[in-house]
Amino acid sequence: MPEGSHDRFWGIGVSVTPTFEGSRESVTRPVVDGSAQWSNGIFLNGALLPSRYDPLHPLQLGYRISPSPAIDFGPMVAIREGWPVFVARQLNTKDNAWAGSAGGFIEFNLTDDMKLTGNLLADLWSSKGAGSLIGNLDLRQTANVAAHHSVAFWGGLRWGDSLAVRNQFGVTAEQAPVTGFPVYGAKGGIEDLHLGADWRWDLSNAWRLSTALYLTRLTGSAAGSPEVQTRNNASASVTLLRRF
Amino acid sequence: MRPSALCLLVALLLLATRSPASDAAVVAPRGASAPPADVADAYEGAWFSYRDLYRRMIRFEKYGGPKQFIQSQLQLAPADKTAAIGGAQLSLRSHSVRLDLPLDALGRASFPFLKQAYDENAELRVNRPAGTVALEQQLSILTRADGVYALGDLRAACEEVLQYQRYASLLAHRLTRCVGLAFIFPKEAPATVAGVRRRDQERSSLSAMDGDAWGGNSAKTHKLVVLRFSQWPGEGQVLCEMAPLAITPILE
Repeated sequence: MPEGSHDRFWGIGVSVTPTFEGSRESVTRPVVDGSAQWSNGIFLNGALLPSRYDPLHPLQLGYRISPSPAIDFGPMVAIREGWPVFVARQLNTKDNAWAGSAGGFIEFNLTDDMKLTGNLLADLWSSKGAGSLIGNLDLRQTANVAAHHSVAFWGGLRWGDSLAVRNQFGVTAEQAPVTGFPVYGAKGGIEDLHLGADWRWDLSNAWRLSTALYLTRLTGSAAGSPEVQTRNNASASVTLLRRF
Repeated sequence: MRPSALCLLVALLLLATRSPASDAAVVAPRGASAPPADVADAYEGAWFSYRDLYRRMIRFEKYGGPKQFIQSQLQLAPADKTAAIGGAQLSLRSHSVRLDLPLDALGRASFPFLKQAYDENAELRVNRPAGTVALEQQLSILTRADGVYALGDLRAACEEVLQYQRYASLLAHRLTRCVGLAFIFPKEAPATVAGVRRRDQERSSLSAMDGDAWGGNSAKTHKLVVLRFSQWPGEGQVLCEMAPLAITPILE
C-alpha cells in the first residue's frame, strides 16, 4: 500500500462462544471487532474487548515482513484466555486468567487463493506460570462465489507443550480440593483439530458483513481433562464492519 | 447454540442487509435528507475495491526480477468470455478522485497508483451489471513500434512472465513451461500478418487463425498467430505487418 496509508475495518457484531474451552454452555456477547494494517507493516486484529474464549477474534498485534508476495512472516504478540473461567472463579483469581504471549507467524501463499499459516507463541505472563508454548498450523482456501461474496474455509491443528496443556487443562494438587476435580497432570501434544468458515459479503465498498463459524475438537491430553465437559466446541459470529 | 443466540444472529443479519448503503442503491434518495457522500454515491453497476486491486497490482511494480519485455495491466474480463466489451467504461471514484481509465481494444487499462484514491477507499466502476465482469491482472509482452521481434527476446519475454508468476505464489506454475506466444490481431488482419525470417532466408508466414483474445476459440473475435518456440529454435526475427493488439505467453 502507499507510504503512510492504512487499511482498517472496524465494526460491531455478536459472537456465540462456549463459556470456556470444553464447556457445554455457550454465551452470546456483543463484540467490537476490527482489523487494521499500516504501510509500515504493523497490523492489529481481533476483538478490542475480547471475551474469555473467542477463537474467531483473538487479539493480535504484529509486524509483517514480506520479502515476496509468496511469503509473509514477522513477530507478534497476542492475548488469549488462559484457563477455564469457572476454575478461575472458584479459585478467586479471575483477574489473571488471561495469558499474554509473544512469538512469530509465517504465511505461505501457495496460490492466489490458498495459504498455509503458522504461528508459535510463548506465554509472557500467565497466572499458572509463564514460558509455555502454543502453536497453530492452518491451511486456508478462499473462493469468490459471486460478485461481492467470498467464502473462506480453513482447517488445522493447535499444538501445546506440556506446560501449556497443563496450564489450561491440568488440575494441580492445590486446585483439586477447591474445584472438586481430581488431580490431572496433562501432557503436551496436539491440543485440538479445528475447522473454520468465513463468509464475507461486501454490501458496498465501505461496508462488509462477515459471518464466521469455528468448530474445534479437543484431542490428546487436553480432551481427557476432568475440566472438559465436551470435546467438541462451536463458535459463531456475525459482524458488520466499516472500512476506513 | 441456544435459541436466543440464534435469534440475535438472525436479527443482526437482517439489520445488516438493510444497511444504509444498500438502501441508497435501491431508493437513491435526493435532496431533503442529504446522506453522507459515499452513501449518496452508491453505484448500481459493477464496482471493485481499489485497495484490493492496488495490493495485487503493486506487486509487479515492486518486483525486482527481470521485466524489461513485459507489462502488467488491469484487465476487464467479462464473465461470459464471448461477451463483447465494446462500450464498457472503467472509472475510479472516491470522495475527491474522479478518473476515467481508457480501455484498449482488448479491455485493458493501465492501473493508476494514487495514494489519495487509496486513502479515500476508492472504488473502480464499470458500466456493466454487477457479476457480469471481473477486474484481473493481465501480464503481456510489450509490443514494438517497428514490428520486429528477435526470437531470443520473445523467449526471454515469456520466461519473464513465468518467473513473475512463480515469484507471486509458491505453487503456481511450478510445473508449467514457456512453450510459445500468441500474437493477437484485429479480426480483419490478413492471414499473412506475421512471419518469421531466419538468417539468409526468405520470410515465411506464420499461420493465422480466428480465435478469442485470451485463449479459447468460441467467439472467434480476433485473429491469432501462435508462435511455438519448439518449431523455431535458434536465431531469427518475427516480423509483423501491423501492430498486434497484444502478445501473450503460452504456458503449458
